[in-house]
Amino acid sequence: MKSKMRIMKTPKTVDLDITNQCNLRCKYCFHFTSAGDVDIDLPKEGWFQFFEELNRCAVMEVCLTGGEPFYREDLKELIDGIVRNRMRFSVLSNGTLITDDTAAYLASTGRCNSVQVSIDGSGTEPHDTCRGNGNFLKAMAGINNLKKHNVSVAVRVTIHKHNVWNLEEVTELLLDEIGLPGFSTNAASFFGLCSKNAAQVQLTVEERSIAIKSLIRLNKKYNGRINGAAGPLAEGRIWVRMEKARLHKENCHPGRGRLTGCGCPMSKIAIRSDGAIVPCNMLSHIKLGQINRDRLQDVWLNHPEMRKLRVRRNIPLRDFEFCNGCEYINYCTGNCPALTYTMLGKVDHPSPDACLRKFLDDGGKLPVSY
Amino acid sequence: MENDKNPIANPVIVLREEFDDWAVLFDPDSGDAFGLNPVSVFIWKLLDGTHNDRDLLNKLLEKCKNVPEEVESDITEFVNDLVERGFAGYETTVEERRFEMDDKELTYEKPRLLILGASDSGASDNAEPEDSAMCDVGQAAAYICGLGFSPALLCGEGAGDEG
Repeated sequence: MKSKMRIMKTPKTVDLDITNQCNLRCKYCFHFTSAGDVDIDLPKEGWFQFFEELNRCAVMEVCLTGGEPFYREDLKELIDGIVRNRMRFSVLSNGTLITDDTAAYLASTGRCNSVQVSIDGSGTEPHDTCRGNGNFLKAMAGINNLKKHNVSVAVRVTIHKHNVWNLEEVTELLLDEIGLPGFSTNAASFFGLCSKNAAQVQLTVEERSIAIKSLIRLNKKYNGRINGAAGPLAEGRIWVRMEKARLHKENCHPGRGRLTGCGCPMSKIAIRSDGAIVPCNMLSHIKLGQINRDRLQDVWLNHPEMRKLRVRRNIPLRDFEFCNGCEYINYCTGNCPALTYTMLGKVDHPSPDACLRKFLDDGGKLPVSY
Repeated sequence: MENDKNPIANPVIVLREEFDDWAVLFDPDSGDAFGLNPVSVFIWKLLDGTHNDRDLLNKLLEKCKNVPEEVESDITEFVNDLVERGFAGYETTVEERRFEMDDKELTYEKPRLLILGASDSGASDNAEPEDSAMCDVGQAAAYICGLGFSPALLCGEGAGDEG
């Protein structure tokens, strides 16, 4: 018997590509060359009008991303608009443009949940190889400015070919020397510029195995202060659990065995820098409407593509030839639909990149004890 | 009821209504979020500067059957809690914002602020339900505030239709 799907009346969080401009061109940037790379920045007046709608929708938080949000000269005015409309905000940044003045302003709003700064290594070489010369020191200066003004800093380490051997050192830098409470990790993934530079930046199966082993060990050593919703640490944790379940012939885990890998359409939506409403900034080819023309709540509740993404979680993995005979099927979620799309050109399919069977068949290794 | 002043909701505080008639009361300045049961939501919507505690009681009696004897003190306690937290006050200007009110009858439940924690604690997108007792706080409210509810729970097992 089918039960009724319960949908929040409006999204809780909205991701805003506040600009398409960036001062860097990192080799694994998910944004540039993706469908979200539109050469239009909505003027501030358009954003102000939209923020008023978000207020009426009782949206609690916006996440400012891009491009590089601090590249926008009128960013303070935009944030003032967010504050006026009763929301909190967070920012995803490369950190290189965060001055003392900017950090002081962010602190003064009292509404900043966090600024996420990308740091990919313990020094210039592992960081700057993919992000450009001089940018490690600039990003570190940005972090220092944020810390000076007590703005919450959330560092993200993107793991790639050039820093996989540097994980111990970057952990020491972030947790011991800078004294952050924690940091998050992911991996250079097959989106945007990374898909063009895959051979130069993406981890091989062997490197991925090393990253999994190192991160699980370091996380244990640092009492769980490293986290990751994607990338080697997340995969390592999930895959070890899946392998244990297979060995013990466990029953199907709750919420597994179907395409349940993404919960985002249940609580959030995204806006491109040209004002197009999209389900996620990594599914930016699915245009659902246009802000200030289409009502966000209508799009959220009624757009067929949103419905489709939500009911995707009912699709059994056993329906896919790709999963035929897989012993992990009852413990698997099929993972990220956006990554599936960039790899296969379709959303309703398990992600080949996140497949444990494929990883092991290709020679990948999981840590023996965890 | 001794208090004849008309409480008014702090306009900065966000009321986020959800599908299960619960709501989240969100303070954007602190990031704190509270769950409101349907009776609390009903009262909150009347905090527009034109109703005193007696009016709130009368409106609630129209809306709910089988209310307990302590309903008066429940309302006073709830409003006082809101005032103490700065979520409501007794300003003289009447708040222009009006909420939609439906005719649906309410089952009485003591109005209260249910502390859910900071909103940015981050509901994990893939988290599985950890505590079935949390059903009591409103499923959407719990999910919003990261109390371990998963999208699977929002959908219901085997969900196929949308509401």
